Amino acid sequence: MKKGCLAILAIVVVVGISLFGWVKGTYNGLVEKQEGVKSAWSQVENVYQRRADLIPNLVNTVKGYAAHEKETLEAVINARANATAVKLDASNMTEADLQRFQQAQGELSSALSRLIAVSESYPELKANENFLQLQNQLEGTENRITVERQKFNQVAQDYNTSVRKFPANIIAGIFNFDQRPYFEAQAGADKAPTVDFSK
Amino acid sequence: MHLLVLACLWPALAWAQIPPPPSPPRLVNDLAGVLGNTQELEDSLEAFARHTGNQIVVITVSDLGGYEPWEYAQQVGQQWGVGGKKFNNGLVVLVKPKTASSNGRAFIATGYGLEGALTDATCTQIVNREMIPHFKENDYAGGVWQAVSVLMPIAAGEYSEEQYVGDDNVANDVFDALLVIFILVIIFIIISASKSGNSGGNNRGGDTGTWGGPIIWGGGSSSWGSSSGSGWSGGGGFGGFGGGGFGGGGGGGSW
Repeated sequence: MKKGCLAILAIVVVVGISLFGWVKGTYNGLVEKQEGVKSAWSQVENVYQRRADLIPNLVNTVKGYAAHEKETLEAVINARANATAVKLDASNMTEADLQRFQQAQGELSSALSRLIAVSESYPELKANENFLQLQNQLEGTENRITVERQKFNQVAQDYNTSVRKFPANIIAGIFNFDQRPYFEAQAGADKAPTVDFSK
Repeated sequence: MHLLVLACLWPALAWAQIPPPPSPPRLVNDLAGVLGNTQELEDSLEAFARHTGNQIVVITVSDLGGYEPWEYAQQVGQQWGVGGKKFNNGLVVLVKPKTASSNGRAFIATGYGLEGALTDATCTQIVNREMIPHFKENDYAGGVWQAVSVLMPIAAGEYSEEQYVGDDNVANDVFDALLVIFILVIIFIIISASKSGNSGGNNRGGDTGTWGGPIIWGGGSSSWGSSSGSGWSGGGGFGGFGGGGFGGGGGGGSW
């Protein structure tokens, strides 16, 4: 009788230890991936911030040459204000949140492209060294935005896959590891690679 | 099943067109076949990578597969993992030669760690000043060599980028000094190569002339593809790509 008790106790201990090991490993793995999503998100915010930082300078430069394009300039300023107001917390982000963020940034993108389009009709502005530099910087920033969005999606996908896979999904459920939303390709803002046959 | 997975991963789908990293790893990847004999360039870049940790990849392609040059270069850098993982100190020099029906495009992509030393504007300037004038005359090897010679000291932090952007003469002086150093290095390589009896035939003899004149490169003793070459490259390449990341920085131009 005593021997039987000991055997059961031993089994319970062994099962307990291996269960603990499994939970610990899975949990820590999920935490690591979640942190990855967080840092990818902060990179996304960085590059969007970089764009926002360029705008006051850009608006002022354009103002000097095309002051009566008031509407276009104001649209950019307002869109910038809206876009910078949307701040998301990477550890608690829903699909609706990210959509809101994308919407605000997308509006800024289109306001900016209208501004650039308008500036086409001001030869002096187009020749302005400062404007050219800002335009280049803007272009480089848009490239960086594309890259960081892609990277965020990859990291988020990796994390989401782990959260959903059996048996890790049990741990994810117990400890509330939510899935993370993705960036969606936007018309105009994110163009898929296109083949230009004229080149 | 494999296809299904690929289809779900949209970035992976887009990645399919980027060439896989070369095996064994090489820094010079003349996929378009416009650089002639690239062994000397490979040796210099490998030596540079070993000594400074900065990895510079040169890649020529005849087709960008629908990508913009910046994106192609960024993807190569990211997927191959050019540069170290810790410092992200990689560079990708991409050249798409001009053809009868398409413009030539060139782009220098910077790893995260080199974005400060090599701003987008600096990269654009290097492409426009050092590469395109040569490329216009169909001298691809010369343009690439020129750009790499300017990139190396900036990447290594040997002189600040302001000096290069601000003052042509300074850049020229430094470049001249570098050229002298390179000539000395090459002479040293040649001497040590012939001493060790490794005077293998140059099976691409006709191409050596494209590397900036017979004085500098004419005596090159290593043949294309001989990874067991003499001199610096004998030490075992550059240790492979280190997993560096690229965030879309850099600059380029077209002609």
